Amino acid sequence: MIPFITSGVSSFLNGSVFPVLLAAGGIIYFGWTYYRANKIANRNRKEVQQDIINRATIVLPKKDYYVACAGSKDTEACTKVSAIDIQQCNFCDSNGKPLDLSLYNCYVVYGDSMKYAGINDNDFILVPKDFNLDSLKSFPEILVIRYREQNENKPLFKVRRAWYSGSIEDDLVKAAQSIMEMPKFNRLTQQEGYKGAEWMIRDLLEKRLVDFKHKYFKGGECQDQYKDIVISTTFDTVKKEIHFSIHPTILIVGNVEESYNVKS
Amino acid sequence: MTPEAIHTKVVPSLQAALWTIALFIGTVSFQSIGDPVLVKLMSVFIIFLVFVWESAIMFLDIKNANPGKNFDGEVLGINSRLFFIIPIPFIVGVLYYTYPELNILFYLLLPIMGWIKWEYSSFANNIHLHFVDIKPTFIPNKIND
Repeated sequence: MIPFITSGVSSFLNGSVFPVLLAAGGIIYFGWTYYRANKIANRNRKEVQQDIINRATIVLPKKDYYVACAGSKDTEACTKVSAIDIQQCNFCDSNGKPLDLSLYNCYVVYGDSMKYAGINDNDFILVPKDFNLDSLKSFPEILVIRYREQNENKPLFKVRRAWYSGSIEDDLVKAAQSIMEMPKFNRLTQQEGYKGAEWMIRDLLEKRLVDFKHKYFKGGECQDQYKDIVISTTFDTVKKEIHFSIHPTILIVGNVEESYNVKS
Repeated sequence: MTPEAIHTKVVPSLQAALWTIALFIGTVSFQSIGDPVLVKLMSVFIIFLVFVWESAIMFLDIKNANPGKNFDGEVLGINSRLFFIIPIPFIVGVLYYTYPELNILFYLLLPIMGWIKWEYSSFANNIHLHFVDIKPTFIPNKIND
């Protein structure tokens, strides 16, 4: 029996099957171990990277940004607010491509009056540095506008959704009616605070236009630099009403290209 | 198996296994191949496989030891270049097998293999230049709808 086993083992070890089996076994061990190690390494990388991102808003350096008011300026909002340095993050466009942040000015929104336009309190909004008024061809467009009166420790900018661009000498009733016929405006009429077309026009003529004339007219005439205007809407979060506003285009800083919800 | 164990134990084991398999296949296969042209080509082929798998082990090790880093897009560019370089020794090898009297083709294979080894080593030694820190990434809200 033993010589039989010994001769069998000896012929197996000296044959060609043994080295093939050894090589195949080695390759299987190599492949299987590599596969398991790679899987564990990839899982660990995912966990480590997610942890970095989760902690990032606490440990990232901060920077001051101008506040853009979405609501009344007479609030607790300041001129600037401290928030995470956007250069330490990736901000993507709607296609997922990272933006070149050096081409934008960043503002932090204060207030909720732009919520129907998708912009909320504490959102980061990016406004191209090379904004040109001529690029405003289609409406509505979300704009950052400078306040005419710059008060110390108060916001210098506001954000509004503009629907019309023209002159203060235009027929504002026609302008308002053309705005209210737009499909996107129709969605606004479903929201809380919309008080009807007649109310909107009456408010525009009796309140907003009067305010505009008070600020920008001299001797019954509009000063030349304030004649070009945009008409915007905003949601007054205190009175809970949507109304028009009139702004001279000379105070427009730029259009909001993207808005981001950033926890910091 | 932990990431620490991968770096300290598994990677060296894979390196050892790879070279042992290569040596084993080389020495065993050479016993039964009588054709000298085939012997030369088998040697080159085995070394080629070792290069490729060594690179894979290297990349696994670096990936594992640097979990907080991503790699920039240029890494893909380097891999694409390797993709075009890799068939060259195969083509030259087939030509040498077809025309065995042209020894120059075999001599050409040697610097080509050296070039491939340089590409892999250069990639490994410079991979730290392709690290990208993980940054929080934000997707825009839908606005103006």
